[in-house]
Amino acid sequence: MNKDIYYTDSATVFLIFCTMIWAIIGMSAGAYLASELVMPWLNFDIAEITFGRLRPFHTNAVIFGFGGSALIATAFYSVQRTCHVRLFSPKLAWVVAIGWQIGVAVGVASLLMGYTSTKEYAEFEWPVDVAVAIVWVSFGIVFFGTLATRKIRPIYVSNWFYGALIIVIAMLHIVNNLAIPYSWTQAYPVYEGAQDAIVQWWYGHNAVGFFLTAGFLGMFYYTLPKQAGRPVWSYRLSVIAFWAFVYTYIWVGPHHLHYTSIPDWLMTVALVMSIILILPSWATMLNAVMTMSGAWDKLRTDPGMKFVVVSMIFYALSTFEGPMLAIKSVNVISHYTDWTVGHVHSGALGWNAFVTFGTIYFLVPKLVGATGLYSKRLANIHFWLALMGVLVYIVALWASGVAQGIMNLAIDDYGQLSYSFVDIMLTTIPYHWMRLAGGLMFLSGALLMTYNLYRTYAMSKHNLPVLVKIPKVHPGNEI
Amino acid sequence: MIQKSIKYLADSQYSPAQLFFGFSFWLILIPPVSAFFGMHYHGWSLGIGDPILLSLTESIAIAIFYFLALIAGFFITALTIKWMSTVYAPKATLKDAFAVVTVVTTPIMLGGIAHLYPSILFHVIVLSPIFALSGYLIFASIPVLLKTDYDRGIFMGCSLFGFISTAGISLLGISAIAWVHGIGPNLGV
Repeated sequence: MNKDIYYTDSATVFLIFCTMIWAIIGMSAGAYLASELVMPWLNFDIAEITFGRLRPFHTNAVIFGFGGSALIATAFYSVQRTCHVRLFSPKLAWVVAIGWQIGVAVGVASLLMGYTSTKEYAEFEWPVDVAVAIVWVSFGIVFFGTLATRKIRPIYVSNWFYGALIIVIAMLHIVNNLAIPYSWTQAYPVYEGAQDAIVQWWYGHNAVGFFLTAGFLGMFYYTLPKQAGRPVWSYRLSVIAFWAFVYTYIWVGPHHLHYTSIPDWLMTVALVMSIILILPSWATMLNAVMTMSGAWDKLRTDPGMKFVVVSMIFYALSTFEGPMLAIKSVNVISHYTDWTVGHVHSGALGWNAFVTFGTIYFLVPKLVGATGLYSKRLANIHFWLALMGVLVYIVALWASGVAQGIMNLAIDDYGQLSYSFVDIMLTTIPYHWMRLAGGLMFLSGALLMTYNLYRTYAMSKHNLPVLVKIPKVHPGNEI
Repeated sequence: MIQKSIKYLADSQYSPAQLFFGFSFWLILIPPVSAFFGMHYHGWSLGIGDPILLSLTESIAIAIFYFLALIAGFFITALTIKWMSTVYAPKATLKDAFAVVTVVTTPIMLGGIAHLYPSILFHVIVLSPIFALSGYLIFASIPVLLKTDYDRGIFMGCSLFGFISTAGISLLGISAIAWVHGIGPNLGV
């Protein structure tokens, strides 16, 4: 059999399986953390499950385990379809798929054991960083190798976003983690003091920008037109938004460091760029809304489409709220409060997780050769559980964040702080119960989805991977 | 009952001015007036400690700004609906857009009476189901009032939901800026 005439999807299937496993692991850890906030005894005095260790476990498991696996899976799937060619090196793709799982698994396990560089979202110690960098560069070789060997002349916009994800994350990861090792588990960062903070948040916010936004926009730009059965409304707008996004986003990191010892001009640049960033973000949102226009019946008939449409609402909301929180006068209230946590989750759950769920519901029946999902009803229940969960979660944390923000800063007539730290903690307890309820709803939806996907696979009775022939390219677009 | 009321409104003869001044304007008064009495006489309760009482001048100023923001929000939302309808509901008029805003905001404005007891937790508990009802009304009212089919109405409802959520968030941001600049609680900034 001539394999070159078929796409190669086995690594994608494996990565989607891993995506769902990481969703359950990472979201369960999140729900457990939310429980610890209201029932601190739940750490049972076991160091590995104390809040300080479980929290980075949760963030790394959901961002890099769940999000990373989904991004690599969809990049492998879509780059072949948009280039009309098999993956550049299927074997290297498997190395990437397995290497990524091992890297993240070892990384999060080491966090539970107490090994951490203490840099947010870059907590892994140097040996894991090196391994992750090698896997990521291999991902780049597979992706750009496939682009280079494409049979079709234009490079579809989803590939621009995936390409930015790969290049910029490699740059951020390597530069931010530059360190001089002094043992197998510890290293000194090469940056000092405020410089270290600036580099860290240059990395930190661009991890949000290029990992959690550019990558997922790549996923989105592939999935949405396919699901809607319509071309992107304005291809030109999508490319303009891409370049505006890339040029603007890279500057905004220092808005995490307002009112700190970094230079004032840097804070101002970050603030201005954050506001400008609304334009490319909303241009993408407009493009999405207009692309969906016409596929009117899809919301009723396609459960995956519901997730993708709602993900756009949360994308719009988060990309407006983020710049607003970067304004110094708002930031002084919101920073170091639950408001920020609520904002992050409206993006991570409402945007990233929703678009991932929608995409996976779309891809899995195709990948396993099924005619459709095992149960649309279960998918619909998942949708409502997830939507209610995220709404309860963010409303609770908005309220909690505002209360915390005011209490952090309130002073009496003598200029003394009006509230103690304990006062503030006691005030937030009811909101943290709501947060736990919202998180549990979201987690139970993910469990339902996993069951639904398993049953979809089980009823398909196909040997995996399903072979899909590469279609011929229109002669006018051939390279 | 809700569907019947929306249908009744769709079949009624009225102008945007009649709808606004005869109904919505009076409803819009409820939140700022309640907020004034709540802020000045009871004070904002954060959950612990004494409530934060605001002076008469501050309470009046905040209530007036709140009223103006609600009025502006009403008109901007109506105009946005009219703008969106070019894609989703080509037969809709400005009058229909006013009707949608009226239906969607009625529970929220009535819920504004909760401001008489300004506790953050109380507001979350009381207003969450009210916002959920308003969310439902967006989707229930658009197909009927804007004379479009159900599927298009759902799409437009999603867009409008996104717009209103963003407007709500910006109101929170504007409040934070006001607090930092001395309007509201006494903050050490």
